[in-house]
Amino acid sequence: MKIFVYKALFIGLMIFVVFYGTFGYVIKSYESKIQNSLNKDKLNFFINKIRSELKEGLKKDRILNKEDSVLLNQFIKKITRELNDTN
Amino acid sequence: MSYFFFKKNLIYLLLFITSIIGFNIINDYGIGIEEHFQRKSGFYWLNYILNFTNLDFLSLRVSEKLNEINSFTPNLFPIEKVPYYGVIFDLPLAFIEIIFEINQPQNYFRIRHITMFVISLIGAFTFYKIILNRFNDFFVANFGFLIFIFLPRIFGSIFFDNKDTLFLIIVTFNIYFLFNYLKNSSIKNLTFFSLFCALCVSTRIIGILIPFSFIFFIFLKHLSDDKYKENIKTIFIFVIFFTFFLFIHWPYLWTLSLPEWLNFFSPFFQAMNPTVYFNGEFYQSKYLPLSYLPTWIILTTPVFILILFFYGLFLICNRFANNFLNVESFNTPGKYDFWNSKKEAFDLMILINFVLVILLYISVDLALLSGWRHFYFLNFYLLYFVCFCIFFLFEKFKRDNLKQKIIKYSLIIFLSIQLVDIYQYHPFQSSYFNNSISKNKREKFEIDTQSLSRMHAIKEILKFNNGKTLIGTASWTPLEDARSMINQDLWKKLNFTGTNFKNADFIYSNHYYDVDTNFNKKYQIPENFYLYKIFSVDGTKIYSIYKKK
Repeated sequence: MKIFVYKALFIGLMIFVVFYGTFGYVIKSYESKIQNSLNKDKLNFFINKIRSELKEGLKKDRILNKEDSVLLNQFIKKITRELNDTN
Repeated sequence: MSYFFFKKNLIYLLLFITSIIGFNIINDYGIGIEEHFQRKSGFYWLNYILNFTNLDFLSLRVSEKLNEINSFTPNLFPIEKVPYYGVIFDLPLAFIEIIFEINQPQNYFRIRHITMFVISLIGAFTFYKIILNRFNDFFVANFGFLIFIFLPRIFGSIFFDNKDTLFLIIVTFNIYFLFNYLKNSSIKNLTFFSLFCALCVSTRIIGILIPFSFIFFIFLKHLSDDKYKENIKTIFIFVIFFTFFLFIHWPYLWTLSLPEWLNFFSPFFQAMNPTVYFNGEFYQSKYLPLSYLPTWIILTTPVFILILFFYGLFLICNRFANNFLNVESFNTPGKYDFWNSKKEAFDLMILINFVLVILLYISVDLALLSGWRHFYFLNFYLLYFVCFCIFFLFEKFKRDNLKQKIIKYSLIIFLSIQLVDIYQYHPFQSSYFNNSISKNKREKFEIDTQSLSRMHAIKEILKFNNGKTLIGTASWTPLEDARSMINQDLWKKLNFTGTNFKNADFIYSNHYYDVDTNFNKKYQIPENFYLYKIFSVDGTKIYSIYKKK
């Protein structure tokens, strides 16, 4: 009985260490990478960047060039036509 | 006879010299980043306890003190969010402050620093007693005392860090009583041990690992001796006393509702500072890499201590691995599977404790910050294994006087180098790095996490500016709180503008941030400021001052 308990304790400890040393470590490092790349300062930085780019865009006379405007116009019209054609 | 007398009493000489050194330099230290918060915790709990009494005159004084704290430091982290600190040290100190009517900021902070220093000396002496009782060797015990008190980061914190260093000391007291219990398993010793277990838990929740390791130890003992009744009785008495002492001295527990009991551990995992700068990158404090703690320990502990620690740890592990492999299926009366003496049982208990801390660290997302000061209590285990290693070497070369002398003199030389480092870093030993990291790479780590440099920097600015001075802060440090250690006559000259740099004459930064400064520019130094002064010790940049052009 005693030997069984010791072996169980030892195997339990080994499983714990091996799990956290392999899978646990990999999961933790990915979780850490995701969480750290989504931190508040970075998100705020990118939101502000988008805001400032939009503001810059509004200051210009034209945002798109003529060719792109025509292309986008035709694309939107086509999509609208298809959306209306539900039958 | 006289040599024995000298060896036996050398510790008192060392204590005396250390006290002289400490009391002479105590005023060189500034104020720690958490000291105002800790002081407020003391008054918060004193106020809570006084509400159960009729001592209205004291309650009134405490309320006045709390109002004064709220107006002087309005930006302190709310106590209600981290209400579990402050009972062991801050509450008695708050009581002393009230009873003796100590109202000058410099005086009440000095009393706190002196008290903390005296407690640390008693802690180091307790470590000496543990080592002496365990190894019966005066040299190892005296050396243990010296490395305990003169470990650079610990020495730099014993005057003002009444949370993490205090926890290290309480752990030391606790383990001393554990040793006493293992030597003589009386109810008296078990009571003392349970009392200090309770004090440990209320100081830092991680202290709960000690009672767990003790119960596990009794379980291991039971497997060898089959003394069912005796072991159950020990665990029963221990749990009852431990719970009783924990409840009686920790008012935080009195305030908990049932849902809070069900969620008991979650409040302890919140982080005060969400961002941590480590190895040149910013991390969220809950998502630090696993290498965080080992890296900090390796970079900030003297190299010879690290070598002896690893060897000592290997020796102890090796011994128990051998015992494990030789376990017999039947029990022999008076013989235990994992230890051959009470001293070996003590080593095992220390090892179990240490392993549990490591398992907790690798399995739970602990919110760490401010270097590794939350784990300063590990220094006890570190130094215990160091002493074990030294003792092993002495035993190995028992008959070789020359080799023993070489070891002794080498240790004394290494210790002297450590003392020179302490002198060089003074009073910023809490920012110590060993020589394994180059001076440039030190900038990739948080340095002045205790914000000790505030007082130094303000005095520096005042030296060159006699009129009214407006000072901004480009770091997470509440600079204005440092006034508490500066003469009140000088307060009129100081005006703090925080991160509003428009009106500032100077900007102070200890390069300790709560945001990712690559993306958040709130601490960016404006272009109309130039670098006026950098203060470094041993190539480690402590703080910078910028002046308006």
